[in-house]
Amino acid sequence: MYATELPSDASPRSTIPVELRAKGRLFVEALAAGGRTVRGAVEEAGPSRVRFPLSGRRGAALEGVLLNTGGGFAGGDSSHVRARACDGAHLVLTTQAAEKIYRSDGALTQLAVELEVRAGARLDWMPQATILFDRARVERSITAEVAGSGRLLLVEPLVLGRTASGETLRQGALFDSWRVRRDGRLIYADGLDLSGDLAAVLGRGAVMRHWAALATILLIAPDAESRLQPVRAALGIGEEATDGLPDGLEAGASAWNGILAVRLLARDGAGLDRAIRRIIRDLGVADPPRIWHS
Amino acid sequence: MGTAITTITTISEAGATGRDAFPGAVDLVPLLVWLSPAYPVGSFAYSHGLEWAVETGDIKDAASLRGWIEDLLRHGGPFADAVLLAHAWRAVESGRDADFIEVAELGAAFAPSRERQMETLNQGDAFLAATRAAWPAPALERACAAWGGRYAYPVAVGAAAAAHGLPLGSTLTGFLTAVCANLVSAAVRLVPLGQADGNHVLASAARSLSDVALAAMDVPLARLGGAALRSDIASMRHETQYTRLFLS
Repeated sequence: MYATELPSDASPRSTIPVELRAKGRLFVEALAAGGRTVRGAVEEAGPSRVRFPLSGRRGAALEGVLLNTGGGFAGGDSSHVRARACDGAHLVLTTQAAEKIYRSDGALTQLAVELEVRAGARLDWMPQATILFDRARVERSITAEVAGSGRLLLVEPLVLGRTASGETLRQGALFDSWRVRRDGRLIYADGLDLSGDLAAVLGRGAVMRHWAALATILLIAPDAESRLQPVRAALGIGEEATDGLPDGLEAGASAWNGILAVRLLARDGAGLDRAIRRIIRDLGVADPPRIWHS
Repeated sequence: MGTAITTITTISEAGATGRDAFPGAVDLVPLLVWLSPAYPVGSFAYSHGLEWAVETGDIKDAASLRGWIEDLLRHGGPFADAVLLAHAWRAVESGRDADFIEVAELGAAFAPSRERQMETLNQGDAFLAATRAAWPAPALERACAAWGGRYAYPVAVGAAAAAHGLPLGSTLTGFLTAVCANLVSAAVRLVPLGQADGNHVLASAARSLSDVALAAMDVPLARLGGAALRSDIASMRHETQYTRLFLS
């Protein structure tokens, strides 16, 4: 296999002028209306767009597909997505394709996601994988406010390097911060800090042992803890080290205080994707977005 | 980094608990008591997921134990704990209640799994209960009055140390030493390893602690994080481990 040559591989770019950096801004609001969910306010700026394909209208949910017309993010680019599921609404958000973050000449790519789930509402945030090219530099923050009676599902796959072409992350930086509040109170916080000599750090035994794909799945729901056993069964998690997990996958799941958390590590993006589909299938709170099937 | 180094090198000159039997020296006795295995915190019951890492063979001898502990110190729970401790210490030392509430709230929520949250909150609450009873201090009562929730262990230690005028550098290295000693002690029983091997691993880990403490002092709360994902998974898998000696 050969790595696909991209313009960002060959030319050591000089710093991109500020006026050329893409600044994506998006706001999506979903409203409950007579047993269905319809779009409320939508604001788009820069390369960020959202579409609501007819194929995504299933049951009471509204499925929005986010697009980045810029086709990936370079250093200095930013994206700020805000989404709100109003009382009783069910909003599903995904992305049209895997998001690529290109090699940076030093400037950070800044991604921010702000989610709000109001009373009795459901929000499923299920983007396709974010792929970091070697030397990508990314800061991402995901914050969520969830009403006690609401339900939030977060599925965030990350692939470090273009694994299909054998690329690994040797340099670059990723800082990924998650903060989830329920009824105003912080209930879940996480920070992934990958920096320094990544070729060495990612190989460490307690870090990733050279595996390139990772995902965190988080369900915030009044009944989250009751979903733990089905998720463990879907992954083949048992009591021994020699249990039913497929080759090329490591996984753990835990639940507490209305939170279900899953961590996945996989050799590559394809193995990660298979595990995520199994979890979503057996979690029983959401279907994989239609666009994933394409 | 410059200010952090100053903090550590001036430990011997800072006044601490007001005793003057040895003028110019900091009285570190409270720290030695609080961080000893005999303090009623129950640290011995928690392995931070290490029990599963022994089950999988990730930890099988002194060298692999040393590597795992080094990863935790640089990228794992203990590093994040050091960051939380430093922020709690500064908030109490300066009497900024809002800052203390922020770090206490974040510390209580910053856990990747049920057992990791239990591990830090049970020790934190036990530490504070014991310390408020036997080592009372006005600044500690003030901090506890500001935050009514549960306490992550490093937040509790940082608050108590600041309330007693103990220097941040010694508190951090002392805390990390206790964490490492507890991990080594768990591994000595689980692998099993000889006491001499355990001693060597602890001595080797101890040489990293000043670096780790200095790095942790510089991390803003918004940058709290780590990368020890396989340690997180180990703590999750430990929940269903068939044979287990430890609570985490």
